[in-house]
Amino acid sequence: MCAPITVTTGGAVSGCTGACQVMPQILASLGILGVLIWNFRGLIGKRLNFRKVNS
Amino acid sequence: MAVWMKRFILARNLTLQVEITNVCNLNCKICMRHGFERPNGFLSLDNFKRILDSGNFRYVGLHGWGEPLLNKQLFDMVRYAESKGVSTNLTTNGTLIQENIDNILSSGLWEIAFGIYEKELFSRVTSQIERLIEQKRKRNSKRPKTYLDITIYEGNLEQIPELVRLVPELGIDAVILHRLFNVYKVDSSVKYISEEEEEELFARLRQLASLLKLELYLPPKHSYPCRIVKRSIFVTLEGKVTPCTYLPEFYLGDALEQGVSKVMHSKAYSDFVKNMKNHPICSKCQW
Amino acid sequence: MVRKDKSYFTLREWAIIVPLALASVLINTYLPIKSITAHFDIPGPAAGMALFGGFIFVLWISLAHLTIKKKYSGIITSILIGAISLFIHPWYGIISPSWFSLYGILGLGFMGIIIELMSKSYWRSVVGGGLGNLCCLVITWLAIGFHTGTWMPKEWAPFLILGAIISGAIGVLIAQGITMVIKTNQPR
Repeated sequence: MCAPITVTTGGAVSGCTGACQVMPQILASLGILGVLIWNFRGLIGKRLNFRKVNS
Repeated sequence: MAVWMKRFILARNLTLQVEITNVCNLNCKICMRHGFERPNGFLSLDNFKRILDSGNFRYVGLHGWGEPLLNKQLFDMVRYAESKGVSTNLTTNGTLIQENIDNILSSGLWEIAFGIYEKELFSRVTSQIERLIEQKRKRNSKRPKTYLDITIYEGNLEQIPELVRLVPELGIDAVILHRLFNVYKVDSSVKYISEEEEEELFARLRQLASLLKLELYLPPKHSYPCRIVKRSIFVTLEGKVTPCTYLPEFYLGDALEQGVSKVMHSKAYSDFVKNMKNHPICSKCQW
Repeated sequence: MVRKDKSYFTLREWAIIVPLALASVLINTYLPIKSITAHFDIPGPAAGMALFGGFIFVLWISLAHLTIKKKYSGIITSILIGAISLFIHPWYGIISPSWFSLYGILGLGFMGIIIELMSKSYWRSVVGGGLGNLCCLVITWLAIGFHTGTWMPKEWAPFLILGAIISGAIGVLIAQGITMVIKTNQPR
């Protein structure tokens, strides 16, 4: 007997291994990144246009 | 990371581990149970309810230093916890599955691990595990998820890949491996494997798992506070709260008098977590 | 200071959105919703969202939108609530399939969209709060049902649907009340 299953599996109700264990955090990061890109789209667009004009 | 931040992040993931009995029908040499001098007994359903209701937990592990299937009220505890929205799990030595198949499948138990560390014991309980999984399939049930739980030590090092190979054949859902705890009260003949041997074993098992398309959980590098303390809290049969299943005599408070939540927010608990690295037992633990 | 032509929201607006999203996440994390619904024998899944979604999510999204008064402020707040929550815990603890948490962001995102689209008048926004909460609830119910086989009991569904609408509407009403109090107490 030892520690509970949820300690060894990282608290997952249904398990997975590797990167998929942090998929919620990956999705969370993508969500925040998406929001930030959208918020600064003006700045990003300007930078891209500047590069186009100069190339 | 600050203690409060960890507490915040893990608040919803916390597992309560309750020792519902310290009676066992086996006497495994890797177990520290035979080193204890506590009286044997069973936790009552009423006390279990009081302990569970004294905190906000996501999971409850219904085992400690004894065989949980020996407690006659086990499945009433499972039903109660599930009705409260707390997911249940337990680790058993597998010897009493046969007479409990119906309860295991109908009580709502979320996860069950077969804590078997040697081929000899595994072959003794194989037929019971097979029957359980067969019944689970017949009932078209997803619960409980099944695990083979193996403690790694010198004596079973060569057997582990063989045990893992049997898992898909039996229809067990996943394999959990963890390091031995041998700091005190464990048979002195039981030895750790070396770091090199561990690396080699894990590489071999990863290969095997990808070949067999097997769900495999290997222990991460040991850190402080360790994953047991970060993710769980242990309550002994007597209702004493301890930070870890391997510290059953290191009491931080009383679950039946104070409640688990109060103990976890006490100075004693915070101090333990902060100074865990220097704790005489934790500092030697590799789990 | 972030310039307006470079960043859609100003620093001041972010300073409103982020704490409001964090407040929602904190409540969602610490409120023992499961224990409350279990105490009254209300079966899950997501019964807590149905009954308390207005207080946990709608209130903060609506408050952000009403305070900032700028298009997309509600939607961004709702997406942030979803994203920050996922850092702490997978959506309803389910990680099989591993991308299950996407439903959390989707559900909350749609909640934000509905709250914003309906915020044209006082009463429309109250209805919007109810429908937004309901939309997030339905997405979560369907996702949990489809992937885990646990469906909301039929006999409880109408009660919880009604509960979700009322809870969401109350969330907007509280947000309107708070905004009004802030407005009247503001120095002229």
